Amino acid sequence: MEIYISQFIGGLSVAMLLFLVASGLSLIFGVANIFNFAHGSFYLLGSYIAYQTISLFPNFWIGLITATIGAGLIGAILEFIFLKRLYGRVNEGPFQILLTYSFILILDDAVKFIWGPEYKTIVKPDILEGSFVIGSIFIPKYNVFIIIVGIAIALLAWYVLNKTKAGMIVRASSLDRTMVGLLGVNVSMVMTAVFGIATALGGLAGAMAAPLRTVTPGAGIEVIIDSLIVVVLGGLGNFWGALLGALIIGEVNAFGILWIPQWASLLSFAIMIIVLIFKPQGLFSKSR
Amino acid sequence: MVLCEIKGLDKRFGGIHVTRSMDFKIQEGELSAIIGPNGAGKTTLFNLISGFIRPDKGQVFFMGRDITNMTPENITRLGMVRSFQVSSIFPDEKVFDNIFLAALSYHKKNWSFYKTNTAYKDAMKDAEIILNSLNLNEKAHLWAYELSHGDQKVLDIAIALAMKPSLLLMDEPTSGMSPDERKRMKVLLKRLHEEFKITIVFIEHDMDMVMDVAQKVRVLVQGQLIAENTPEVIMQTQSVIDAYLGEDGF
Amino acid sequence: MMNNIKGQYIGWIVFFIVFMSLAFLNPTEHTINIASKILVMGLFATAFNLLFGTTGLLSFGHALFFGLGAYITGMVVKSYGAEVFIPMVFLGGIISAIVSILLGFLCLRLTGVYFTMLTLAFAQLVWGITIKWYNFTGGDDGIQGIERPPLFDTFSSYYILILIVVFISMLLIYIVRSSPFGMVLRGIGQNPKRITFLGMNVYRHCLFAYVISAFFSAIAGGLFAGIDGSIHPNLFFWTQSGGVILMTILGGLNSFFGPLIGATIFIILEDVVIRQTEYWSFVIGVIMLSAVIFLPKGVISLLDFIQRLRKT
Repeated sequence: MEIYISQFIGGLSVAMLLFLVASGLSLIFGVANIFNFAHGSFYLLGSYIAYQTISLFPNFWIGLITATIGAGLIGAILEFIFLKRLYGRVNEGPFQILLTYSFILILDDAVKFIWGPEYKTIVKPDILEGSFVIGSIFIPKYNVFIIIVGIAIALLAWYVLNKTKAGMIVRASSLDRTMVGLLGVNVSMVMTAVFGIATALGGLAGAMAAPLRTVTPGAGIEVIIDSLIVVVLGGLGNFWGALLGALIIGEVNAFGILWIPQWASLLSFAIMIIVLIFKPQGLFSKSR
Repeated sequence: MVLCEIKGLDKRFGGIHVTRSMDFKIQEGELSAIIGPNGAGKTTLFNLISGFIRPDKGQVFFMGRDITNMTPENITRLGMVRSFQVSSIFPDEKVFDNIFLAALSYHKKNWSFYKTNTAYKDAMKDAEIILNSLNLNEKAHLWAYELSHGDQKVLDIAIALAMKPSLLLMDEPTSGMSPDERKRMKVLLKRLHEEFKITIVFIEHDMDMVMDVAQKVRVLVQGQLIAENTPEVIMQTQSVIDAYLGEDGF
Repeated sequence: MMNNIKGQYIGWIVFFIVFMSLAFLNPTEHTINIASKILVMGLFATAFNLLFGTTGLLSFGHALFFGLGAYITGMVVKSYGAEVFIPMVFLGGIISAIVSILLGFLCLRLTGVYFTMLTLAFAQLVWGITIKWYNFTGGDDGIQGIERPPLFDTFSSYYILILIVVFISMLLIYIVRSSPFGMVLRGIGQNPKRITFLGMNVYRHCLFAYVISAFFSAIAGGLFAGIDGSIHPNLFFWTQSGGVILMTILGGLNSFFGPLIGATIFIILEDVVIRQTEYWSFVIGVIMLSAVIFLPKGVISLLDFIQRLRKT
C-alpha cells in the first residue's frame, strides 16, 4: 500500500511539472493559434539558466526566478522577431511547426555549445531536503513543493484569465483578434506577452525539475513529446484539459513503471491513441 | 412535378431554434427566392437540405428519394448542387481547371490515377462549353485568385454547372457585387433557368433582384416559413412587412 | 500550361543524366554513397510530398513507413539471404500500404495539428517498440551486415539499382500527381468543402493518397537498407520524419522536383558540415529558419526568380 501512495505522490509531482509546460503550450495555441513545437526547449533553457545562476550565486530561489524570466524573455524575443512574420501566411500551420522545429534544433545545440554535453545537477535547497513521514509513508518535501507550486500557478492563471482586465483581453483575442484590435488594444503585443508568459512557465518547470532529473541537452525533446500528449489528450487550447491530461500522463507513468517497467515509456502514446480514436478533439473538447 | 420536398424540418443549435418545423415543396422548373432578415436561418436551411448538417426532426425528399440521412457528396451526385455566398473556388488552379475538376467529378473520373488528366476528353469538352457560355473563355488561363470578385462568383456557378445540376441552391449570388455585376448576375440567373433548364432556389437580400428574377418568394423569419407566394403578393403581405420593419426598427 | 510540361520534361532528363553520369565518372565509394542516399531520401521526400504538397496534410510520422520498409527488407534478408532482397523491398511497400490503411483510418479523421501529432505519436510508438523488442528487432543495436541483392552487390551496381527503382517510382508518383486524382488532392488542399459539394469524399481521397505515399516511402526505406548494410531504430525516430519535411520545404513543396532538390542540398550539406563541426543541428536549424522566413516556396522558387530576371 505504501508504495502505491508514494508512487501516486511522485506521479502527482511529475504531473504538475508537465502541467506547467503543457498549460503554456495550450495557452499559446488557444490565444495565438500557434503550435509551439519548441516549447520543450524553453523547459531545457530553464534548467540550464537555473544551473548557471546557481553556480554563480549559490541560491536555489534566485535560480528559479532567473530561469523563469530568462526563458520568458527569450520566448518573447523569438516570437517578436520570427513568428510574427508568419501570421496570416498561406500554409501557416505547417510553417509554424517548421519554424518552431528549427528553434528546437538551434536552442538544443546552443545549450550543448554553451554548457557542454555532460550531465549537470542542481542541489535542492536545504529546506526542501528530506521527507515528511506519515506512519510508514515517506513523502519527499520537494515533491510536495512542486505540487503546491503547480496548484498555485493553476489558481493564479485561472484568476488572471477570468477575473482581470488583462485576462479578458487575452480571452477576447483568442476569439476575435480583429475586433479586439479595433477596440484599441495592441493585439500584436498581447501575442508577444502571452508567448513570453507561456515560455516562462516552461522555464520554471525546467528549473524545478532540475533537482529531480539530471540536466542534459536532450531533455527538451522528451518533454515536448510528453506535453504534446498531454495537450492533445485534454484538447488543444483548453487550460483545464491540460491539467487533466497532465494528471493522467503523470500517474500512468508512475504506475506503469511499477507494473510494466519495460514498456512504461510507451504507455503515454497508447493512451493518446486510444483517446483520439474515441474523442478526436480531446477529452475536454467543446465546439467553439 | 415536385422536385424536392421538405417535411417538418427542425433544427436546434444549443438553445437556438434555427429551423422550426418547416414544410414546403420545390416544383421542377421553378426559379424562386428565399428572403428574410439576418439570422432567419436561410443558409442553415440550405445546409440541412444539402446534407451538410443533419436535422433533429423531419425529412427531405429529392426526386422521390428520402435523402435526409445521405452525405452531401451523395446528394450532390443526385443532381442537387450548391453555390456559395463567399465564392467557393480553387484559388491556386487555373480558371479552366476549376471547371475541369468539377467536370471530372461529374464523369466519375476523380479516382483515375494512372493517366494525365488531359486524357479525359468528355470532361474537357464539358468544361469548354461551360467556359464559353459563361463568357469566361478569355480568362481561362488566369489563376482563379486573379479574377475579380464578380468573376469569382461566376466561376463558382460555373463549377456548379459542371455537375449538370437539376436543382441549384444559390446562397446570395450577388453578395458584395457592384451594380454592374448585379445586372450581369440577373441575366445569368435567367439564362440558367431558361437555357439550361435548371430549377433554381436562391437566397437574396437585394429586393430588386428578387422582384425581377424570382417567380416565387419564400420568407423566413426566425427559422419559420411565414409566407410563400409570387413577389408581387409577398410585397403586400402584412406579416412580411412587419418582419422587415421589425428588423429595421431594431 | 505548355511551358510547364516542357519544364517538367527537362527536369526528368536532367535528373536522369546527372545521376546516371555519376556512375560512369569513376566515382569514389563515398560519392556513390552520398548519391545513393540522395536518391533514396529524394524518393522518400517526393512520396511524403504527395500528401503534404497537395492536400496540405502534414504527417510528422512518415519515418514509420520508411523504417518499416528498411526493417522488413533488413530483417528478412538477414534471415533468408540476399536472394530475397528485391522482392522484400516490394513486399515492404505492400505491408506498409496495409499498415497505412489502418493508420489513415484513425489519423485522417483529424485535420491540422491533430493529424500531425497523431501521426507523430504512432511513429514514436513504433520507434519505442523497435527499441524495446530486442529479440525480434535487435533493439538499440540495430541490424548490421545486410547483404545487397545478387547482381547488384557492389556499391556502384547497387547504385544503378537504386537509380532505376527511384526513377520508376518517381515517374509513377508524377503520373498520380498529374492525374484527375492528383487534381482532386490539390482541390482538397485549397477548398475541401467545395470538393464535398462536387460529390467527392475528402476522407477517402486523402486515405488513398496516404496509402500511395506510405507505399513509396517504404520502397525508399527498403533500398536504404542496402546502402550501408545497416539499419537502426532511429530510422523510425521523429527526427527522421522532421528531416524529410525539411527537405521538402527547403526544395519547394509546390513543385514536383522540389523535394528531390531539397534532399540533395540537405544530404550534401550534412556531409560537409558534419566533417567541420559537431553542431550539425544548429546549422540545419539556421538554414531551416531562413528557408521558412525568406524562401517559403523553397529553393526552386529561386529558379523562377532567375527566369523572370532573364525575361525582363
